Amino acid sequence: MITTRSEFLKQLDELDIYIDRLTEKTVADVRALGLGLSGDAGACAGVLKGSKTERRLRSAIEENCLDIMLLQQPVADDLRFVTGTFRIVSDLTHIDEMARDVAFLLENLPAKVVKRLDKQLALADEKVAIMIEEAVGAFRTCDRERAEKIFAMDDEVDVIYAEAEQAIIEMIRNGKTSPKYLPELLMVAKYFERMADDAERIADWAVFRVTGKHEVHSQENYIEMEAARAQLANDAESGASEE
Amino acid sequence: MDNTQQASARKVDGAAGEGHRAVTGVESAISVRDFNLWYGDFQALKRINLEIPKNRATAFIGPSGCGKSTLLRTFNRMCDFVESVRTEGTIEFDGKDIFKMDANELRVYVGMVFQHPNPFPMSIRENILYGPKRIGKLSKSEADEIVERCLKRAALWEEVKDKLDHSGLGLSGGQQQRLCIARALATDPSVLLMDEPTSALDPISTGMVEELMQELSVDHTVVVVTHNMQQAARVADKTAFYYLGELVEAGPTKELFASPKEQLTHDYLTGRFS
Repeated sequence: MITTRSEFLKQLDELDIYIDRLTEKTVADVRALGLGLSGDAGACAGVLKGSKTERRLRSAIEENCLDIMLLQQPVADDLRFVTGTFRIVSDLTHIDEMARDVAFLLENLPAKVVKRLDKQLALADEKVAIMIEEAVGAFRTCDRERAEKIFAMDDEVDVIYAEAEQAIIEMIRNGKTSPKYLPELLMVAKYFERMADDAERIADWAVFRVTGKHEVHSQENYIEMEAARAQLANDAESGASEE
Repeated sequence: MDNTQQASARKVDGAAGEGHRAVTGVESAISVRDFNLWYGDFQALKRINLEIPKNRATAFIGPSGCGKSTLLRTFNRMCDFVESVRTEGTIEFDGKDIFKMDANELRVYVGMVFQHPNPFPMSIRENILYGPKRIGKLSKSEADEIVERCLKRAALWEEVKDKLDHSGLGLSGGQQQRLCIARALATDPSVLLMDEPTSALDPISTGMVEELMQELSVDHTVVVVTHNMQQAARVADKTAFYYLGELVEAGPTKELFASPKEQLTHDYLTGRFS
């Protein structure tokens, strides 16, 4: 018996390798932000230099996906793999773009300002890195259970963001801290929250690869998160009024 | 060159490791210039100009009666068998005008595989040795070497090595077609013409023959006529689209399928064809 469609199978393998490389790069950039939070300026500079690599990998992945769809007519899991890959590449590169934005902010924020939230942000950063690895891993290995764990992790990052937001509001409210730079600090927290959302979207595509159905958990969770945030803000507001 | 080396060579040659290889700037195996062909009063091919790249797979597509099989069969002078045929223009194979060559000699270098598997009513071994024996005398060891090499090249050796003296007609349809490919390879042709070689085969045998086409096109020039556009997209490096005896458009398969230049090609590829 001879192997059939070996060229097609090779193209799928290559696509898988490209996705792995882009994931490795994105996770490395996100983890470098952890170092940036602890004051390592070199780590942030490294992240900022990575845009060319990201664009090259994105373009290679998108081109491969289009070629495979055009010339090889994939079906069943192959089709789900190619279409899913075409979508998650946007999420991965979006995360990497945001990592560069955070690196830029960290480079320009005074260390003492970053220090006020460094522990929460470092925790969010590591969770986001794990979420990306796990979400893409779940997609590549067709592991639904692994993908669904990402949704719970996103809730944890949402909580960290809500707490960071509240902490910043408190800082502004009590007037002991100069409000200068606090909006930027809030933006850093928000970026991590959005990166986690993107990782959750990748997990949605991992579930799609297994089931063939694209259910957008990330959207549902966004609505839930907004409700939770509103509740937290109300609680803080009423607490402040009572004082 | 072993299979791994051949696969590497294909990859290096191809654009960014893709299955489809560059066809521009590649030496031509066959050059068609201002070629016209008539069956009696009917003009079947109209002023065709086309380069068939060497050691690449080229697909001819188009609706029935568009002339694609006629041109394919002209490449090894099978059109000579039609009494009323008349041609104008030139077709060069390796720089020589095929109409000035001895037709039998041409067919040694330009082999043909047909739509329906047509093994001769003889043993598998005799099917393979039919062509080489017509060219010259063979010792037993030479004959054995040819049989094994061609059957291996056609991915049939493992399935038939213990029944080489059985009739070729006893094989399945897919095996018969691979036997015909092995037979065509026995004279060591540099060009292999395939006229709808999978239209009578099931999907698994089709997959095997497509795989063979791609493997063979590493060191042979393969020209395939197919009605299956997806097959052309999968296996061919270059694709030519014909309509009513005219070559409408030819180019790298990826370009032709992704962004055809002619509206007629676009309409045919997208099924909007009346």
